[in-house]
Amino acid sequence: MIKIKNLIDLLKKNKCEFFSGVPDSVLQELSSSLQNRTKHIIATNEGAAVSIGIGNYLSTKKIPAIYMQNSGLSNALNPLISIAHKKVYSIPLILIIGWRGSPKIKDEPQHEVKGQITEKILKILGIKYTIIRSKKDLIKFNKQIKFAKKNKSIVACLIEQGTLEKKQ
Amino acid sequence: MKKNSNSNKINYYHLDKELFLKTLLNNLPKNTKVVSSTGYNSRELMYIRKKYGLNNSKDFYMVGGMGHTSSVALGYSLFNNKKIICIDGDGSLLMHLGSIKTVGTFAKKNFKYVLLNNNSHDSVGGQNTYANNIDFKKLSKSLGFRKFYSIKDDKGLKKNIKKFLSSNFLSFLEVKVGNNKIKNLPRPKDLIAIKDKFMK
Repeated sequence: MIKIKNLIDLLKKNKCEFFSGVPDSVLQELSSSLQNRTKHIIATNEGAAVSIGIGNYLSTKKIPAIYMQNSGLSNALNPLISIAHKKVYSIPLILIIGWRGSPKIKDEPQHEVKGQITEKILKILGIKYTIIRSKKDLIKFNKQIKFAKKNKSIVACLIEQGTLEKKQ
Repeated sequence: MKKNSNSNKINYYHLDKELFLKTLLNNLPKNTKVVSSTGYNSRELMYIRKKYGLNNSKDFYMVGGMGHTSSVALGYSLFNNKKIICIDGDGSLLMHLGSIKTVGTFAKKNFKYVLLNNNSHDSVGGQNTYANNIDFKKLSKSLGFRKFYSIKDDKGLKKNIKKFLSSNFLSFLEVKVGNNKIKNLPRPKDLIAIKDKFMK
């Protein structure tokens, strides 16, 4: 388990200040912590969230964070591949993905199907990612973020149900 | 409705797109940024800039990510006062209609939305988008736009464009354009250079 603050502090250290996404139950703690933030836009679909992030990067030169549930990752593929990809406009992005149906966790049928191919989708896209389960995974994720900023590429993390500590 | 002389496709509207885009670019304040939708809109913009030497403003061409033009433009316009024009098409708007609600909710007056409506998927053969019976005035107002402007012919074109551009509120402009084709349109290729120029 990790505290959401640990993740947000890591992003902040990387000058990542802007968030856009589609809310997800796995990432509820993230949503709560973003609630009163001005630099945060809830989008109507995951592709729009990615695109709002792309626009934000074009004006600020800072890497944005895009959050979503893995079931909506496919909605984001079009702008990820055909705009943000290294071989197209090369736009750096951090994806925070709630991972329903991860092979480690029993879930509903529709989530199990998508959960099993989520890592494969990221691999096909050439997106480096970290599965965040404990605080030490943040060290690897931090390195990947630094690389993504330098290389102007996309980086992701996968977060399973129960990883983000609930606030008391 | 009349048939377009260049093809068998139907022209729903008749304003010449080249004339509109040329007049728009001519009247943009210096350093304005433009985000334009996938296909002909971006390619025509690129062509017209070159043809008339209009280099006061910079473009970001949505070579992919169909339907996400307004989202990229919104992301650019937030938390600063830089002027940005979103040049969208009716097919693109309808593809992700939800996004224009996000624009209506969060965009400020530095964001200007231009809908080039030809009621067709012009870049891929002119198939119908069924956009012709949408009341964009009512739609845009209920989505959060404060002002709605409409252009359907070249009468007072410059004046109407200027009115829209100088509006002090979040504004939506619907331009009813024809489907006249420009031959040998260029394609955006050196994308990294386009991006770097846009970000300057």
